[in-house]
Amino acid sequence: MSKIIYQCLIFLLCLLVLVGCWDRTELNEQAIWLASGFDVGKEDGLKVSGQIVIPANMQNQNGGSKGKDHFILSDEGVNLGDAFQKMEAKLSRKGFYGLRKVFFIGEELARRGISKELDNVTRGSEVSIRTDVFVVKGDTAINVLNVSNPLEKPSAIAALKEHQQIGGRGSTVFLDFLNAANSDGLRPTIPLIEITETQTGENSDKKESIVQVAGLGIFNKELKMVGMLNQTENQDLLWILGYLPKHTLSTPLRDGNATLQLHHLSSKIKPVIEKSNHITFKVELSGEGTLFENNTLLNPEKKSDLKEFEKAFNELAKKQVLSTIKKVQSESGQDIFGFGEVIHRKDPRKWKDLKDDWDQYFTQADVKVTTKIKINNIGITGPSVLNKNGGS
Amino acid sequence: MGTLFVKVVLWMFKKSKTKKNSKEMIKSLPKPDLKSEYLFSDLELNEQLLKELFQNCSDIVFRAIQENNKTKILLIYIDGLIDTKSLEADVIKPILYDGLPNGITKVHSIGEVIEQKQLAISQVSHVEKVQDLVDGILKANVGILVDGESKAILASLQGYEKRGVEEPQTEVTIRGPRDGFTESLRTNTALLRRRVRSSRLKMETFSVGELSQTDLVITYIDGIAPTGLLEELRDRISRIQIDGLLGSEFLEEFIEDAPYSPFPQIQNTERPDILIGNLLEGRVAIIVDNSPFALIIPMTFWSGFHAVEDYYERFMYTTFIRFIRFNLILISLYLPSIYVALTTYHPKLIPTTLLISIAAAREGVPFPALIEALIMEFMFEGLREAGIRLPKAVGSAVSIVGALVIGQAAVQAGIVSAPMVIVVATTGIASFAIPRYNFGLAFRMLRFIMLILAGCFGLYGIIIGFIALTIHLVNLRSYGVPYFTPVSPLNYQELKDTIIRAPRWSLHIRPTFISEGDKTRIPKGQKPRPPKGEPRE
Repeated sequence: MSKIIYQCLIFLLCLLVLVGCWDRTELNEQAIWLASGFDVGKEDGLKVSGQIVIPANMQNQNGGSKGKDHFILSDEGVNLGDAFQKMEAKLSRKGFYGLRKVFFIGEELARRGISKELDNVTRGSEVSIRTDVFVVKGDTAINVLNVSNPLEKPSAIAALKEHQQIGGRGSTVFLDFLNAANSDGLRPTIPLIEITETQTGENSDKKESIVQVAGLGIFNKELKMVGMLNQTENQDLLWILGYLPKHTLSTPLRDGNATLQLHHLSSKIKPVIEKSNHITFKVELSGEGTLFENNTLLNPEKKSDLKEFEKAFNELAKKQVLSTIKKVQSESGQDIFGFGEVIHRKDPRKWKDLKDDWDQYFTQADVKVTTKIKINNIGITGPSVLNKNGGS
Repeated sequence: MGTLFVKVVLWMFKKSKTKKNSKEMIKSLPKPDLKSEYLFSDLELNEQLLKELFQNCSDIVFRAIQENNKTKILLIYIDGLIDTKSLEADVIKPILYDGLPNGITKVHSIGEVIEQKQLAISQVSHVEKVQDLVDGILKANVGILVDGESKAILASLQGYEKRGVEEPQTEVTIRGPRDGFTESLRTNTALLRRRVRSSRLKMETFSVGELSQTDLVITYIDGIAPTGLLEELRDRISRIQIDGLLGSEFLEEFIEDAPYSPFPQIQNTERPDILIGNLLEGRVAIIVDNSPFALIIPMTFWSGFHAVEDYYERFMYTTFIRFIRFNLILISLYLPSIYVALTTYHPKLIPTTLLISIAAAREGVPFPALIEALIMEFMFEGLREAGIRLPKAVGSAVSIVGALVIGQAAVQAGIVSAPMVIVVATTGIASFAIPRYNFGLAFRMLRFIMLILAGCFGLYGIIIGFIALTIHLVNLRSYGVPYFTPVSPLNYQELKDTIIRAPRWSLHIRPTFISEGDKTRIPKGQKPRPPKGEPRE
């Protein structure tokens, strides 16, 4: 009996050692692909570019870095697979896409439509679905990849961090995009990014490029970009969708102005459907805030004055959000707010009638916005320091 | 290649078949058969017989005395084992100077007179057989033979050189007693008796070893130690056939349950307080002469991971430290293998910036991570091994060489990457944090197996290793007690002294799996509280 066990053990040990080719790949045999860029190529093709880390230059043990921390590789092909295949010939190492946190889409490609290009991105098992996506406003993706960031070592991370920093969706953008693309009552959106310049030296002509989050691209059902929103409008949208973690409102008030920082933001959408299929949406937004700046004569320590602050901010928010919704309704006519999904959830039968012409219904729907903003923290000073004698 | 391999395998099997009969080898050693022989009544014959037995034993002393010019008395003892001063004062002087008292009328023998009237010694016994006399003399007694009598007196006059009670080297505490066991069995039993002044503390003496005749003592507390376990232990000890038992470590390998397990199933300690603590939990201990390490049976996984200090510090701190220690055990076992698995198979699981810095550090390293880890672990174990044997004066050289060669030069030369050095160093520190040395050895060894599994199969291999290890640990038994008790099989009451240590007043019962009889150890309701009423002025 024990003889058999011994024989099995020795056999198994041999298996362990003699098979030789394990599917292991060492880290220094892989090219770490941090970001991809997709642009329009020649003849309806696609131009794919990638930002790849140069690990040797990342090491800063002995003082500063020796050179650029990344390099850009690009090639064209009929589709993604073709382009990647061609790019392999330029790489001495095996590409590792598992950590690709962000990809950029050139504006031209976004307007052409990206429905055919996304299959490869979702099919491969090694690519994470937790990816941030940007449409490059007025430029190509490869140009964004080339912009280096002074703070972030792998500069592709900079865009992602900026996005999270200002209260965007961050790494869930791609997932949200896919969800929206597959649903009838919500149109997909992708945040915009643009390249701007910042003055670095004393001379105004010494400038450095830097990327900046610039709003939102609106896509239609065919996944073509049909409209854009600016950054403020983008935040209004995120507030309605319930993604916004923080928000800043600035309003003129009396003879000065004031700024409020909001958190604990939430939203509620109530559809009212009439017999004639005319729909009215009641959007309820709420949030709590900290008074960030007060350049008025008002004293927030007084209850009546605090009410005045709240009233001003409420009106501002209401006006802003309403104008954003109206703009989307009139300009692109795409339901990026998920109003359709709300009806879908609330009245699935009714939704069956509505969903085929949803773009039509959406543009014609009435929207009422109510906001409930509360100031629960006025900071450590009461009235403005400079207006001590103030307060009506 | 293949046929060679088969041949090697076949040869191995053949070899295992031809067992040598070790029993016969011991039996064939030359030894006079004296079991049945009795002493002669003639002193000269006895002397001749003993001198023949102790031929070429230069440490045996034959001292003949003539009492009143009449009766011959012969003292036989081993030089060096006997307190010579006491022998002179308490045995030889009274016989030589006082002589036999005249007042005695009815005596059966002169020997009896000597024993009763003239030996100022506390422990005295009679023997009639030659073998018993020889054994007695070898166990540091003085044999006294009187002419014309077939009886001998054995007087206990042990007085050999022995080490004093010192602080144990292997189990150091900050708080707690500083005495440790020595090589002398009697000193050790005395240390125990001082701690438990009860007749229920039993000490059974056995003698093991064909030639060495080593004394060993099984000690336990009557009514708490399980009788089944005791019987099993006595049985296992009586089965041992060995020429010489040179220490408790020899015994351990004969009486453990699973000799092929990497985990020790018998705990050893140098500290009497640990031993008594274990006896009070219902365990049984064995103390072997000439060994400062006592054995404690049965051992569980958790006792391997408890330190002396745990019971001398307040419970909160102990719980915290045990939590850290438990994590360190996991680190010492798994860290290198997890590092290898993650970097070679699952880089996606590493955060981006960390991955990039690891990749940067690995740039230019010629070996795969597995080989790198094996080299480093090998060097580390080698350094440790070298450091143990070296004399203290040279010992520091090892650490310098180790730190310079392994730590810095290897990284600068690009042979190993810096993160690997960190991993191996962390693992090393973690393995030093395991309080029981032989328990830590098991993890040190298993670490290499885990490393190879991780290098071959990635995290999958580690999981396989983990499952196999857990199955083994849960299956393992030490004298019928599951190794993993009280975690598996689960007992909530006893969990109070495993990863956590509850305050002492709440440790009400003895471990159910180990002890027998009354389980209550500390009656309930002893939680201290401030006095009731108004605070005093």
